[in-house]
Amino acid sequence: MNVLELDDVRLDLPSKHGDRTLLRGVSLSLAPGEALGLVGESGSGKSMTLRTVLRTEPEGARVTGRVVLDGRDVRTLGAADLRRVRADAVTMISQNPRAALNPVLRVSRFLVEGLCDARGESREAATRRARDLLAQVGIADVDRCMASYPHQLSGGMLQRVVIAAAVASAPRLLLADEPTTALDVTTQSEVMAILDGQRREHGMAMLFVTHDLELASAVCDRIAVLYAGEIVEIATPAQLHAAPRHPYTRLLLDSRPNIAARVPALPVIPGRPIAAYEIEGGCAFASRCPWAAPRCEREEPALVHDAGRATRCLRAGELADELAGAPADDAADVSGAPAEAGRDGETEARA
Amino acid sequence: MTAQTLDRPAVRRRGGDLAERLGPLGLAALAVVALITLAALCAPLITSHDPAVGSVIERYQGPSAEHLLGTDQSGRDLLARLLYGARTSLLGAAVVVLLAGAGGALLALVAAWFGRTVDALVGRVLDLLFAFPNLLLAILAVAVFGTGLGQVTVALAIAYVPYTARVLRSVALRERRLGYVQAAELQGLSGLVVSVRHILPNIAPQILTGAAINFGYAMIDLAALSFLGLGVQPPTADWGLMVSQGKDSLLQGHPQQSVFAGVCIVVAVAAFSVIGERLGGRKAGGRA
Amino acid sequence: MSTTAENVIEISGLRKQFAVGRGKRRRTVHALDDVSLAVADGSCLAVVGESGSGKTTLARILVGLESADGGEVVLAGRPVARRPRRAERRARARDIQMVFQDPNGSLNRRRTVEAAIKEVLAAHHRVTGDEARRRVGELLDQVGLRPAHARALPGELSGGQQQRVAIARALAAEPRVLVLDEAVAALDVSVQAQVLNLLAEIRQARRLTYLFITHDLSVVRQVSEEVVVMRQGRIVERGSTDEVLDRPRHAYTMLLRDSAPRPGWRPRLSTGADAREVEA
Repeated sequence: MNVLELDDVRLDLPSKHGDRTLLRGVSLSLAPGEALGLVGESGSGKSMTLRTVLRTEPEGARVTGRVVLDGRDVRTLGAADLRRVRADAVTMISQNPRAALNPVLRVSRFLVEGLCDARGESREAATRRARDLLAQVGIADVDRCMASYPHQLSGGMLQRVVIAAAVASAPRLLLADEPTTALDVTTQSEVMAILDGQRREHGMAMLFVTHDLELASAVCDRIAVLYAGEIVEIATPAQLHAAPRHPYTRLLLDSRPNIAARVPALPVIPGRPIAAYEIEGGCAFASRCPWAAPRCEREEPALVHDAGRATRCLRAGELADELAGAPADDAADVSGAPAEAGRDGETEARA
Repeated sequence: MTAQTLDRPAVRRRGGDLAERLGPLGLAALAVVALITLAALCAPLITSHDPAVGSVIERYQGPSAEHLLGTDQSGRDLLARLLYGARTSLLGAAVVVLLAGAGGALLALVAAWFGRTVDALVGRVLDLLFAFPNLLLAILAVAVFGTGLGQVTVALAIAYVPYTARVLRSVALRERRLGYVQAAELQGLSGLVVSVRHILPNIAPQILTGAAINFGYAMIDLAALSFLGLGVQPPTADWGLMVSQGKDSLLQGHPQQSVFAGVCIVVAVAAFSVIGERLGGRKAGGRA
Repeated sequence: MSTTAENVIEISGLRKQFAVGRGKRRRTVHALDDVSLAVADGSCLAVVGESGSGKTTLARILVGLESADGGEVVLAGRPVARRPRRAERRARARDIQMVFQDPNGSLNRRRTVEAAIKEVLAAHHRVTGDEARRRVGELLDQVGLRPAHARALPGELSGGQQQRVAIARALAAEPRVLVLDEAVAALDVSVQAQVLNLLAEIRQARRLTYLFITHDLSVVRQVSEEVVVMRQGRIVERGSTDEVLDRPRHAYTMLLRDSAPRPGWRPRLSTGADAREVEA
């Protein structure tokens, strides 16, 4: 049985400009021990998807569809059951570890009390375990860390403490929302290595939200690319890099500068990322897509599953070879999209 | 971005935003404030009685066609005294809030612009002012400069400065660190120009919110001072003074004066507090 | 460091200290510790480092938002006073301008795009009225915005558009040098590429010199010819971009390069990082 299943999850948020749709029909599943990356730009709904799992979406949001965690629909749970799920089955690691720790308690108290409360351990046993956990997340000076207050520790150290606390209750599912975005790159590398190692060791499934496709590729079994509140493609990292099937995925891969080689001009996606409520019918990506055909403006593509991966593109079949083969700067040429599209693109798209 | 977004007048619909932030209760409070202000302004049109003159023969009358709310211990028309009393009460509070807002904003801008030593110095001065209870400061001022509305409003304004300055300083500091202020600074524009042209408009909402909240407190404090006989002097009409003058009549079985004036104070203060709270909550520059 | 007339920026022995903490915990941090570098006219130098490396302090001293404790800055052949008067700052602004990281905060949310650019035009070139309006139109066109954007408030623009306006505002002073402090870090990937291309175009068209502050080695590869790597206030490695990225010599540069996610990358633990992570 899958640890987590999202079935046609839709989220509308009332605002002063009327209801705003942020998710429109997100469906995904997560097997035990599997890591799934949710990758997208701002407005794609990646974080909002994560928040529907623990029902921490913004106040007033209306969510439809099913979020099934270990066979139970989270959306219909009572308050007590929901609290139990939040305490036992799922843990969340967010971008800001400082928000997770009480600033006036030492790390030792945060960890030991958490363990005593959750598992009814004695203080001595809990202290021993807390020290073990800290050592496991690569903290060299455990004594010093245990005796520190949160403000005395760097962001990277705090995120390790949060990870240690997260794995302590051995949850079946780990929700990680951009856990390393606020960290320096070298610290990010270390924290991700620890997170990845601990997750595998404890056999936890993970939903990993990030804007960084490469980072997700490194630690996830499968990746779901989101755009404007919809999943546009799901595939393994290897499949995505070798042969993306959605134009957005291809362009996302290409428009990121390459650390190994410089290109004369970066291939760009014209315009800016939009949110679900800005879709004007047809394919959400059509207005920015160099491969868009007239019918893309009219028909709404469905997420089509095929051999373990899925794509939401009307022209996926015809474009398969082109999207797979073309290296960075050729892609735009083949399609006839002018290389300088990006210059004016952002202002003229959808104008 | 899209033309669609550009055409959406998201930022310019200020009036609509205001109504939305106030909500039904806030709008009702706003209506109450407007009504009181209007009544105070139009006092001569509503009543023909002089609030300061009465005849002892007509003292302690109940409501009648001639005196809608009756008369006080000196036979003065209570309605007239309430209406004209609103003028002094509102004006006094307005002056306090205006001076305190201006002083607070000035200190905040100076602290934010110069930072470091100047900021620390401003902080110490504020701490010092915080140490004085508001009323004590006002009483001190009266002891030195004599009784009167002018003296106590200025004294209260000074007492209110730290409350507004504390909040405005933190907002101004946040703005000071933003790119647009730094960009203006690096063009070689003077601190005065950058503070007035760039920072001030962006902390204006907090100044206004703080003013709305403090207005209520200022009314209470002024009424208290008048009650103690330190503020408005008889025979001028003032709500606080009316409560005070009515307290003897209260024992003689004529509660009207104290009750009417007290109700007016409570309603006005509540209305201003609601508006202030709706505009920005307690974090936005309130006294307490 | 060789001093030639072709260098538009020459920095030597720059030092800056900050006091942190209070009481017994008070200590000084060397934000910049003997930093020297030169930037050739028309080139792009990338300054790479993580938080606490001093890269932003370097930028802020260069444009005059902060003053150094020691060392010398020569900008366009003129030595820069350590604590400049306002007139000197204004003169310096005609040589050097800055674009900030946060697109949202770098524009006054109560003033239109046009007002923001006109302020700079008036401050440095005494351009006003119709002439100013015409120049605003030109500048917006250069950064890929439409004339209609002149009347927009920042809140009505996307992050990418806000950053374009910030670039237009900097260009309004007609500087020789543009300091870009993590100017694309807050943008979405697809918008980041647009702005990077735009910056490359503008540099070519206006023969500008860039000082590009970033933590992102992929961006370094794309934009710069030369790079300095900073760590804890010191320059630990410098050279041509290709040389430093392909054959890094300093252990820290290697660590930085190995930490950057890319195809086939795996996160890994390096040793010895923990010691510096606990703050006393």
